Amino acid sequence: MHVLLVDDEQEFVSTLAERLAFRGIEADWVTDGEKALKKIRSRQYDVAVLDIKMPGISGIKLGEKIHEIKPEQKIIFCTGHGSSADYDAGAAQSGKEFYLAKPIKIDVLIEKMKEIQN
Amino acid sequence: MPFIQKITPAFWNHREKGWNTETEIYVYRRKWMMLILFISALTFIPLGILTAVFYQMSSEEILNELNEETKINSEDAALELNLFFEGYINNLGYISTLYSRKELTNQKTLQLIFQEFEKNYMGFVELDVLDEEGRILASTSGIHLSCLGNDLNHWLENVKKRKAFTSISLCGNKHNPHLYIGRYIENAEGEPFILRGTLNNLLLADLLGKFRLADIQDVFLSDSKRRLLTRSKYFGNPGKKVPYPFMEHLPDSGQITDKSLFISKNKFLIVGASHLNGTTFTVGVVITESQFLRLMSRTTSQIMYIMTPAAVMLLLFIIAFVSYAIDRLYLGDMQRNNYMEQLEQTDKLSSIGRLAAGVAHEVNNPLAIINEKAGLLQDLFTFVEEYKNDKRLMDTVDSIITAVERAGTITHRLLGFSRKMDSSVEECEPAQVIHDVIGFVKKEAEYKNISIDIDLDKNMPRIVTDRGKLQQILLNLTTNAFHAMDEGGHLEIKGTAGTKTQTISIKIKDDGCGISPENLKHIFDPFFTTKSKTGGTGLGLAICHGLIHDIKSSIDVESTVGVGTTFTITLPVKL
Repeated sequence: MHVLLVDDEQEFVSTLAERLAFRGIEADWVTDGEKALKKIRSRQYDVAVLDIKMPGISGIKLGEKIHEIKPEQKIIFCTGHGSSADYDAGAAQSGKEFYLAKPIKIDVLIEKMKEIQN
Repeated sequence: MPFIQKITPAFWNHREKGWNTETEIYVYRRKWMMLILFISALTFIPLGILTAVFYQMSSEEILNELNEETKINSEDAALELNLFFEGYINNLGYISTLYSRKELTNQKTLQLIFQEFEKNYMGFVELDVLDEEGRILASTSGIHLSCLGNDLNHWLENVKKRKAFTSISLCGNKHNPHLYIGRYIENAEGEPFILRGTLNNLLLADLLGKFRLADIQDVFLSDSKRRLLTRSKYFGNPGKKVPYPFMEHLPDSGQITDKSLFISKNKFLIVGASHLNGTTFTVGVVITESQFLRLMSRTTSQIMYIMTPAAVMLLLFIIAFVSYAIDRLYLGDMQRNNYMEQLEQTDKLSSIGRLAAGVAHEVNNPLAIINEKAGLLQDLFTFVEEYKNDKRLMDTVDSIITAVERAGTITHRLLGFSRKMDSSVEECEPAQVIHDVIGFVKKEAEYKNISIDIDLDKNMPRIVTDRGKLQQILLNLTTNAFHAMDEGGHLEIKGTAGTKTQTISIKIKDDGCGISPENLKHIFDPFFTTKSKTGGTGLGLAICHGLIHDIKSSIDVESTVGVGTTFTITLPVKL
């Protein structure tokens, strides 16, 4: 599986990429929306994991732009605004989008990635 | 319930601190009393004035009536006296027709005539025959003196002018009244002469005595100079002046308030007077205040019979009306206070929520980094053989991750508490929502060996509400119940259609440790927790409270320590 991680917190996103690599998931990471769009255009990702609150292009806006380029792109949104109820209930879901609340449990993230891919 | 308690208004025993005092006072009872005093004053003062005016008018009317009555009485007395005097004047006339001047002027003959006459017509004590100059030609008394004295000329003039004249002269120091009746006789046979009879005083006294009935206390005769000619009960013996309170135009009547005249407790006298025709006499009659008081007592009784029940009824009505008004005011105030408390609670939740959201979001990002870094360490130790078996290192990393998870739970709860969730109102099946929620917590129930009974009324209607918020409320309440119960506990969830069908209620009942009455007051306050040692954030029920408010529902709680707690949510069928 090949994923793209987008988050303005470099420490977070780089560490997450490393941890995914331990689990056999190839992860590219960028820290802003512009770079993310370039990556999306340059190659195919199975899943894009986007932080919602980012300077410049917000995660939601970025998601829309990605879908303009690749309508079938699967996306998981991460948010620091999520609540425990969202977390427990798996948040609102719509086929090709998932929401996850920070801090993320890596097993849950991988599970959701697989789920959304299928 | 005793009768007194039944009629006691709700505000009666309510006490609170006054605005300028530290001690508690009966605020509403004080208002009640003030209002009763004020309205009573407004009602009874005009009523009292009206009564006084009515009393005054009645007394004036009665006085006028008494005055009029006294005047009529004096006229009647004058009429009677006139008839009395005319009777004797006619007797003198009768004598003059029976006997000639010659016979009458003979002393012996006159004596015989008088004796004969006295047998049939009692009354005269003396009979005299006078010439036109007033010289006595013959007399039955043998003493040719009379009390007329200086008044003789005046008397003669009147007799000649009026042909018949009655007068009273007061004789001696004791002013004994002598009553003279004179008749001027003009016969064809000789010179004119005057026949004068002196009347027995007792006859007049008897006649006046007849007039003294119950109402009339006194009757007397006075002359043109207002001098008493007969004895009066109130004005004294003959010779004294009568203080008539009116002018000369008789008949008339009026009031005398001269204290020196009062006998017994009377404070005034009503005096009436009338002229006697053919004389210079005035007859006076007196009635006293007691007659007036007797008539007034009837009016007073009438006033009392009407006014007393009316005043009692009015007072009862005022008390009832004021009690009702103050009761409504009290209930209104209490309701407003409740709203204010609810508003304060909501406001408190809202401001704490906003603060919490800011903190939670800012903490979440560094927390995510710690989480990932700790996760990476764990991965490194897991995937690198060298550290794989170092239990101490693994435990340390695990405890960091556990602590981050705990911190994350708190920030998630804080965010959930404050988050302005987009309203997504939809029609849903309450039974389905309950089953979904139980689905989430089933694992935990199994883990703690807690049995769950779900009893749902088949008539429960579908409801239109925010499904997400309802789910969160139920989730928080069931999680709360789990924390309150020991292993092997029992949770009961009961859904029923409301009695008015426009609501449904969901009851969540546990048999856990229960909540003490002191804690029960604070369970919806943010950060209030009795589980701080085991990681309780004190936000679960505060969030519930906010969400309940959002979906226009209400929540009630009943709890007994050691028995369990029941939360009841009442939801509208349509939001």
